[in-house]
Amino acid sequence: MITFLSAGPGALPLIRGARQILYDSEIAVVASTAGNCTVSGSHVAPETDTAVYLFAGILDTGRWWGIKGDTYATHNYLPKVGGGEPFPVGDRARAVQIARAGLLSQGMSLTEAVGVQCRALNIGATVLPATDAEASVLVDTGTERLPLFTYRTAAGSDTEVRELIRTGPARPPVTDEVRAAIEESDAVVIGPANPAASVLPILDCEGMRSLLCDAFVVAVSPFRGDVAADQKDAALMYAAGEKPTSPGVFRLYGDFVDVFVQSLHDPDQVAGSLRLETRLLHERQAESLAWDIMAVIRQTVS
Amino acid sequence: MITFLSGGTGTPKLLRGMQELLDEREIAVVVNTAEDTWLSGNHLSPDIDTVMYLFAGILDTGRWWGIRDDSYITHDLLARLGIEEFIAVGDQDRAVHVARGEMLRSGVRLTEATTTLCRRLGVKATILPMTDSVVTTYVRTHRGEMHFQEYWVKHRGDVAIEGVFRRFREPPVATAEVIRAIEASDAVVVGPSNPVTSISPILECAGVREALRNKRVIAVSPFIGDAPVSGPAAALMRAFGKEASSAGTCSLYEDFADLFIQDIRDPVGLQGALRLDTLMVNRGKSLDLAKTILTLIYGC
Repeated sequence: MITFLSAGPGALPLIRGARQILYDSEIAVVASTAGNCTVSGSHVAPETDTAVYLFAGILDTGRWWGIKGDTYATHNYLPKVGGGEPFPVGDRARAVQIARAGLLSQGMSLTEAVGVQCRALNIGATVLPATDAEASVLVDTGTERLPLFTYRTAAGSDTEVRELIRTGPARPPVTDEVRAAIEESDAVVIGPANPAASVLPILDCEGMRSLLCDAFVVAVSPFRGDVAADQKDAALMYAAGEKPTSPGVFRLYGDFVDVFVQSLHDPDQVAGSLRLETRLLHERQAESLAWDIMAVIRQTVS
Repeated sequence: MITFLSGGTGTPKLLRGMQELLDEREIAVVVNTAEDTWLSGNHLSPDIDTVMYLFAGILDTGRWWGIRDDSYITHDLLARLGIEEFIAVGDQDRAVHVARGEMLRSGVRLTEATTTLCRRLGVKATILPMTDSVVTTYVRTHRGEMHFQEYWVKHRGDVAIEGVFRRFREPPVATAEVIRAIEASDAVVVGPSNPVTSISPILECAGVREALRNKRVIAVSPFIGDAPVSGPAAALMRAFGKEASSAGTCSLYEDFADLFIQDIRDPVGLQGALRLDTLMVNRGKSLDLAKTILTLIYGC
């Protein structure tokens, strides 16, 4: 089994590529809870949802969130009745969020609730939130504190990011399910997701770094040079106290990473890194990167 | 101005007629909120929504609840995910629940939330929840106590009931807006809604009965014999300790009603009651009854 850490927007194309090589049943995804928030009385969990949608074959892979072909009847009607939502919630996505809020209010843990939803949608892969604690990230823009997902989907790209504020416990405990998945895995892959927004909140979970120290970990840098493709990705990295560069990423992962992958075209040098094409603009590039990573894993682990 | 006391069935059919005859700004409707509930994270107020949608011109008048031509995408997927909402919430309907839920969560009073929704939907009539505090109708059955909506919508009234009662943290008090509306009215009309679950909760709000005693009040019975024109009134009336008939209804209203209207077909004879056709099966019947009531009030 292979465990992917993070189902952030950057990592999803790689997970989709890996599905061409691995059975879904051989894939576990540990999703960050950083973006979790409550919108309109329902439970938004962007990373678990996108992972679940991906494996259910219903993910909108144009923007890498939400359900393909979803409708927006409720969201569109809200402004008419004096309401409004920070980002567009589709009618089907809303059902998933309401259902999860219902399961949580019955006393289920987030892991159990996501498990129920995975079964309801007939998903072969294992999707696990990193923690059952209420641990999310708010983006302090200087004027307000936005939930991370609201910042990513609705804030202007030049919005200032002063600080990333953790809600909940400082070191939320990693779940037993995540521990078991990593221990059973041949390797852990950290895709090219934004480290500040998606990976660090997972790494900060109590017990995670020591689990990774004992595992074979391949991490892919999302950056090439110091010009991030997305201004917000850069702003989030600076707010986490690192530069949006491969050396910056390596400093965050250095204590546990076994193979660090950076782009062929990256001017920055990280000693000992593996150079591959890391741009995942279309499915074949993602599949190709997944092949290379699996080859490294097979060679090392077997 | 005329103030109506309304539930979710019966009275809205009379309001359909009144709406055509009066300047909407001359209509105030005090609405039962004892069937309100939080559903799927948001606030469902079935009777307010029906009255509000009626005046907004978007009510599904086939069922007399919900928004016409609404879609049910969230509701249908919820069922597939194992969550059965006990009533079919349409997607636009849900937006109203969401907007109200968010307002209430942020500390807005139900009266203000309703005013905001009405303004946004272009409703000119004054729609007032009976109270801003939470009061809920429960029925006692052999399966235990259940929310009235669960009894009526989920079990379709198919469970024997032993009692009807209201649950609240503090006894409900009519809002200042409700009392003002009644005081400013030329007359108050108690519509043909369920006496136990729709009208009594309004009458139980502190201040309402007193205000009504000082007003000219016309009440319309929802019964023809022992059968209600619509809704689950008969079993509820008996569980409430009242006869399921116009006579039982009249006794609930006797301290303030000046004129009692019962249906021409009603076999129960009530002294002094006015006999009219109250079976508002179409727009024309609604208009006829509304016209007659307006003549009674204004004498012309």
